[in-house]
Amino acid sequence: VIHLGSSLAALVLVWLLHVMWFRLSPPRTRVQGLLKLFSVGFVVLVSGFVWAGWQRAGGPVGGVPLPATALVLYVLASLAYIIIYTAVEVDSPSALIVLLMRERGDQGMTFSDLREVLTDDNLVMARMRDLVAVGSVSDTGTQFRLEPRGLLIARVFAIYRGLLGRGLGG
Amino acid sequence: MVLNRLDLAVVGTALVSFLFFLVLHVIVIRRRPDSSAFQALVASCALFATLDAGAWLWLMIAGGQPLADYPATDIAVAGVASLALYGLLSFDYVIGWFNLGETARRIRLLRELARAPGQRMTADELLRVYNADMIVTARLGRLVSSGQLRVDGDRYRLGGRVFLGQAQLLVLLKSLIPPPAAKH
Repeated sequence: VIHLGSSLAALVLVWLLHVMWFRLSPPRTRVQGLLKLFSVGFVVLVSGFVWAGWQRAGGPVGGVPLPATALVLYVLASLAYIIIYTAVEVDSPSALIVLLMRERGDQGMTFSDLREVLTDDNLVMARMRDLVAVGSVSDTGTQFRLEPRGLLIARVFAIYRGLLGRGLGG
Repeated sequence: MVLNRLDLAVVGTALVSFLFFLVLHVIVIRRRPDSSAFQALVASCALFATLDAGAWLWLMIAGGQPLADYPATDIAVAGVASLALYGLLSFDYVIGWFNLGETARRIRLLRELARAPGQRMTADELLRVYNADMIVTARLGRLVSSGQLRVDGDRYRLGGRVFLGQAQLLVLLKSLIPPPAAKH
């Protein structure tokens, strides 16, 4: 249980460090910063387990010895948080829709009401500008051109969606 | 740090359950293309969570090889840990990968460009094949079919609280860690 507990404690500690770091002096590339921070936490956790193992001369730590479980738990929970965090940087249209609906209460909204807020520019072109910023697409001034990195992502998802028998998505 | 059979069994059962879930969800989604992908994912995931929990429960109650030398309480903790790993694996896959293909606008834009002649398009061409009308229509359809919105004539109203709760959680996270600039 100590292994699992220390894994959860490490997650909470890294998360608190992340909140402090990102509030005080956020890194330029935030997701990369987050990956580095959780990686440091992983190294510290492994070191802690190795040290605890030596201290106990190979005996189980805390009754149930589950170091691999604790490490996998840490990695998967970190990944889950990073996935959730990416939604903080980019507003999801579905989240915007339900938040707008809540504001309107019983009055609700029509499709036209929603379209006044959710425009081609903020739903589509903003995402295109993101793709240009990360180098998946280039902007020639008159056209958007797919770059090798973007083509690779498009092909991987085309194969995956083909396997599922699903359409273009989006 | 000493690995042992119980530890390996936790990681192993979670991984095997997850692999079966992957195979089953592909089969179900392919065989029922018109039904909700979300329901197929939830049903496939729940089936193997139940089987994983059942296997650990059987180990705890019946004992026997290969974990005969571990007390039932250790096996119970291991079973809960296995379910937690399986849940996280499934969450990471569904939200971090499946959802990208299903709803991510960036992936759709890349795929539209990949299909275009010369893999290039003007902004007008792009907006003819993928635009805000399509995006809002698709979201409203998903939110209505999952019960998060209800529709009365041409008016949509809040129908469920699950997705609203997730959206509010994101708002809370944003207040803790302000994003660099408002992006949609």
